[in-house]
Amino acid sequence: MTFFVVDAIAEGHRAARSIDCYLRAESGIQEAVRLPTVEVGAEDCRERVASGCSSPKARIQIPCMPLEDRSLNFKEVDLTFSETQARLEADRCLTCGPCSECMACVQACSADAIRHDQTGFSTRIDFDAVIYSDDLEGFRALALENVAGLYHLDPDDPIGGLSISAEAMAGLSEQGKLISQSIGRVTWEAPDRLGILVCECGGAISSVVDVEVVCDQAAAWPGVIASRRLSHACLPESTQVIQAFVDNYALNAVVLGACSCCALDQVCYSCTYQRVRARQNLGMFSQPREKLGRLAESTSFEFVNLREQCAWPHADNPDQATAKAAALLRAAAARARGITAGESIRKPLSRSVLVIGQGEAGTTCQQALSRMGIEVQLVRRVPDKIIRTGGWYAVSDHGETCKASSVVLTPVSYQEENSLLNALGGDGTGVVTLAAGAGLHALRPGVFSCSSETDPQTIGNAAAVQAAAWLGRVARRGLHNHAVVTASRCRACGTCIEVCGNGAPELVEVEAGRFVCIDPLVCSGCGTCIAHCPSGAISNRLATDVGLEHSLNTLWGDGNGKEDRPKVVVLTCNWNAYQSLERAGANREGYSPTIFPLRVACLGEISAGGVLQAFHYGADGVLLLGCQEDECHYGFGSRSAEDVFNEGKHLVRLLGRRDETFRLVRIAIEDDTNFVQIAENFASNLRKVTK
Amino acid sequence: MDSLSKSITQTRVWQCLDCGKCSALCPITKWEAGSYASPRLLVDLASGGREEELLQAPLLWACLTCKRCSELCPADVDFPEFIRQLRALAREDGLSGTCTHSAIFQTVGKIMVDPDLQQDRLRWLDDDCLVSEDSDVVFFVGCLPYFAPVFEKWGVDVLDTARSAIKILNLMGIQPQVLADERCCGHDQRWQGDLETFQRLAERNMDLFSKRGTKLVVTACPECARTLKFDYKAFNGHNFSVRHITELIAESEGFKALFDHPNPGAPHNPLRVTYHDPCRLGRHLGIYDAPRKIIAALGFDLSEMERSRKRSQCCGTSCWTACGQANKNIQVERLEEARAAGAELLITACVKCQIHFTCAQIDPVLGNEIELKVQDLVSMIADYLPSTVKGMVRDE
Repeated sequence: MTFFVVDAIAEGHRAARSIDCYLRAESGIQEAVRLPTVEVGAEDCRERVASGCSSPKARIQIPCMPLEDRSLNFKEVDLTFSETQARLEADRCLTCGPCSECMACVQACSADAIRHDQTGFSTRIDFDAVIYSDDLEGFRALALENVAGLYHLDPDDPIGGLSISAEAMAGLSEQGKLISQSIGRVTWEAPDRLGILVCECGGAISSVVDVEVVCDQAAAWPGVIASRRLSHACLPESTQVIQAFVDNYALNAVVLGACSCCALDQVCYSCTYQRVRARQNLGMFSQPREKLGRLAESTSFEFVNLREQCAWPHADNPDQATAKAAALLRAAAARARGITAGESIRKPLSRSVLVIGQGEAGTTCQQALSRMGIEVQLVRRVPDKIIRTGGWYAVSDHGETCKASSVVLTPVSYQEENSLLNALGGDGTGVVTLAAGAGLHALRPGVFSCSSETDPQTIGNAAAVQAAAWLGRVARRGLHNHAVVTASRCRACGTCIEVCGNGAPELVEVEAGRFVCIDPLVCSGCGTCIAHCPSGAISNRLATDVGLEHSLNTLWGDGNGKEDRPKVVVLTCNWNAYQSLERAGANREGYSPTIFPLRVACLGEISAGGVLQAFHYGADGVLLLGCQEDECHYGFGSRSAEDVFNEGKHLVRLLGRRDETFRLVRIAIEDDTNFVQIAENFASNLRKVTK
Repeated sequence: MDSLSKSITQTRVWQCLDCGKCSALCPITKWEAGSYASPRLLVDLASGGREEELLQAPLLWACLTCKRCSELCPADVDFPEFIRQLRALAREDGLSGTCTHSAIFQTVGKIMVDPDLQQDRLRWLDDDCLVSEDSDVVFFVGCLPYFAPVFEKWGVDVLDTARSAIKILNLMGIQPQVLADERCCGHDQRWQGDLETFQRLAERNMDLFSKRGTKLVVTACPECARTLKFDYKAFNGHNFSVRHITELIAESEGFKALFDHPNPGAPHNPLRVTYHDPCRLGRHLGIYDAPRKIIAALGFDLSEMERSRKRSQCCGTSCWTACGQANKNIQVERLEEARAAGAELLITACVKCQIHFTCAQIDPVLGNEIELKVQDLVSMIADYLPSTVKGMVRDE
């Protein structure tokens, strides 16, 4: 180490102070802290030279005045560098650190923009209402869409501000004061306010499951504010009871344990087809306001089927049925806590329709739509492919791409109808519903087909009306559980674009970077992209690994059923598999109470990590139960589950588990093998290997 | 707060001069769009005792602990260690970073804690890999078998690295033990503040080492090497030495022939390569020369990137946590740097770096612009040796 004269002087000072202390009989001296400095040793220099960062250069000598010029005057003998010399000398800098606090930049900046004393700070401002005026994507990236008193104002809307501030003001108890503020980061945390409702099902549940005990236990679970029993959740009167329950306790999530009862044609919350409707009807708990730009608060909802999953199959063992009911409700409650409620995103669709086909109905339809002020493109030639991408239907016509929000197919013959259906891809049967008007089918969201056998005038006009109505209706709302990308976590790798069969994810490039946006109107909420995203950038209110993890964690968390083995988690998809499960319950087929079915949207939603978590939280076996590939409700979820299953199988094997502990079973809708057979078969194989 | 002030003292955070060198160097600061993503500002919050904000700061989980900042810090603040201790604190409050790859590796770590776990992790061993039951040298495979099923879809053959390492050790006359009961070294858990899992994993491994009478642990993973060498010191019975395989090769007698007569079978047009220093091997363990010596001896034309050795840039992601746009940008920048150095092949000595650089190239838009083959040095040695010096080494 090198020492300089200043060091010697400093040491001298120190010695003097220490002598002073000694003479005053004071104990110890206050040592000044010796702060380290950048030290660039010879080795460092050599390394820099070797790596080409610097090159060895001699010091530039300061020029001196020639001897002959020095006589007869008192001019300074040491001269200064010329510009070239100064540059050469500066070039010798070893760049040991990027900023040396020389403050030169402060002096150079005429705008006085550089502050070296700047440190970060954050401010907390409490508001009753906030109007956020920036693009909707950015707003959603902040994940703030579910906050009460929060309004979104389209920055391009010149008059929207007035109505929104009026609305915000109206919502305040006192006269509000408007503050305009640019905010970098806003955080919001909704406290958990969970309500548990247990239906007695008129005795069908309560005769086996001790509803009282379940309600008492539920009241103590984390985040639960209230629990209560209902005699019949399915009756219209109960809707009011539920609504009052939600309003009284200001709940933001409700878990209902009830039954499957769609056969009775009641608006219940359980069975597969009605559930979708019930979820959308959840507005009855807290009316979402349909006002401009308003993102309303609503209640998230989880359902557990206690009758078909507990009371009926385990009728011979009331204690275990009660324990299982509590465990399943608790798992759902944990999952509901991980779910953020909220209204679906709405985006106006472009009012445009593609009319494809050589049928006469095409011209009628085109004229009718034009009269309604809707942009129409008529494509006579049958295209090879009708592509669905980013909320658009697109076809290529004579090398030109035509795209529109809706499609009307007007075939001239049965053959043409078939080739049009082929162009649409898939068999189109999955979503067939009959719409008003004979011979008019809704094939895909926004695709209508005119039968060639019907009168072209009538059917053409009917199709035009349907398409126009659809444009108006669908523009209002997408699925409320669509996937959302956190832009900062997105690596723009395109994996989600590859796995999504709906074409919902789209790569966007803005100033802030490249990331994927998922079109909420196109997303079907299956969660496949969530399972495949390498960086965990995608989430969805209902289908999240986090939600699943919460459920799994609570299932055996408190030592419940520790000695009952083998513990089986059956991840059942919402469609064929769940139907099979409910059918088994409805037929009162008993099965082992250690088999725990957990419902997911689609097998595609399950990731390898999620499977491992099930094992980590105590499962002896994990069974994935879903639809046949060609019957998958989402079209592609069941198929892509195969990759995840194979990945998971390897990992499970590495962790010393036998292949019998992890299986993927697909159920066909017409399949006679039911849930009980499959699950018991799995459990008995498991018993053989986990002795 | 006691533990916070303890960390501040221990990692010398209080010495911070507020000079901002760290922020100018930090790759996350450069790319993370959010506020507070700067080591200096985080340290500032800490010295101000603003614990709540500190634990909410994005940098807390985004930090790569790459040590680039503390390497040049004039005040000698050990920022990575500070972050590590903060994370342990944050975990007590139930906070954690976003897991990548559906939390597979975090969950595998948790499952491995089970003392009765019987893993089936050695299927990759082939007949050419000579191992023994009683050697006092252990080859620590690490998580490679678990990476294999997850990353084979990207064409990264991580088990090739494991097999190559064994073959190289065989060439040196070592027939190492490979442990069927080996647990994850706990590196990620430790750096993510999950100290309980780390502790239990480490205890299992230490137990194994002492039962097998291990004197030397060799690994092909810089993270394992760092963890076993430094962080296992806190446990009783740490009486073995830990070497990264490149160190061992560079000083091995068996490979002396290769280094004495470099380019034994060098092609006329040697492949132009560049070497990426992994943070754990470079700045954490100080190993810079051994890999370069090997690359040169293998007859490659090594062209250094602008930032190399101590100034090397991190591969952009660590601990399978908090990955996203910023991390991708770091990787793209590094790949561009490697291409600018004229390299046709990017060599690294860490499988995780290899995975991350491969992942970054999966891009529907940038794909071609950043295309560059990435290979792990260990697997390359084995690929190259058979045709050239295998015989020579054996003769020695």
